[in-house]
Amino acid sequence: MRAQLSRNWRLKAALAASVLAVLGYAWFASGVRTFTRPAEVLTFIPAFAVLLWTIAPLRRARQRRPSGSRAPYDPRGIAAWLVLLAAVVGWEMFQLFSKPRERHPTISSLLNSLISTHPSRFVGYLLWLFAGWLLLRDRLARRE
Amino acid sequence: VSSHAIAVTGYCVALAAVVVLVIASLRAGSRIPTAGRLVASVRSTYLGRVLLVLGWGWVGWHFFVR
Repeated sequence: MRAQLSRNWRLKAALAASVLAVLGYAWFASGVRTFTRPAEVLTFIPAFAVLLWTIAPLRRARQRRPSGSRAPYDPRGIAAWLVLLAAVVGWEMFQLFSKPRERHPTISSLLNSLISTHPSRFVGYLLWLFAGWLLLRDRLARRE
Repeated sequence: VSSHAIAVTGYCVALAAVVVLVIASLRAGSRIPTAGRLVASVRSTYLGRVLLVLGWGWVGWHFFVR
């Protein structure tokens, strides 16, 4: 009983430490200036880690994948998403190649103005890390 | 109306369309797959999973490095 409680406490402490480490890393990484070596390195580290974790166990996971795990879709339902995606990409490209640039904002320029301060950039960086975690979620769960 | 306002309106319309599709996909018996199921479908292949991670990495690079 005591050993179980101690184990639970250690797990919670490890989780809290991990969350704090991620928050600290995100705060630090989102605070460095863009177009600098630190910005490159601090963004490259989590991106490379997620890529490695994605690729490394994939061969084994592919072998274990049960057949028929992909559910069929109605093509018309998928078409709705594809049409929307094509429209957004088309609009983005139209704006990107229109002049003068300052009167034709892209999604990037609009989002860049949203993350122009350190706190908002920190939130953006956390969301980016969270998306990376979502891509790895099932891999991490499989290891537990 | 300025070009800037028209551009932003276009993005707002696209965002509204995303919301409409999400709501439509969540209805019972909907033929439209949810965004999560679409992403899961892409992730079910090796190439799709790697492309998604590369895309995610590019987003980080684009916004936090360049």
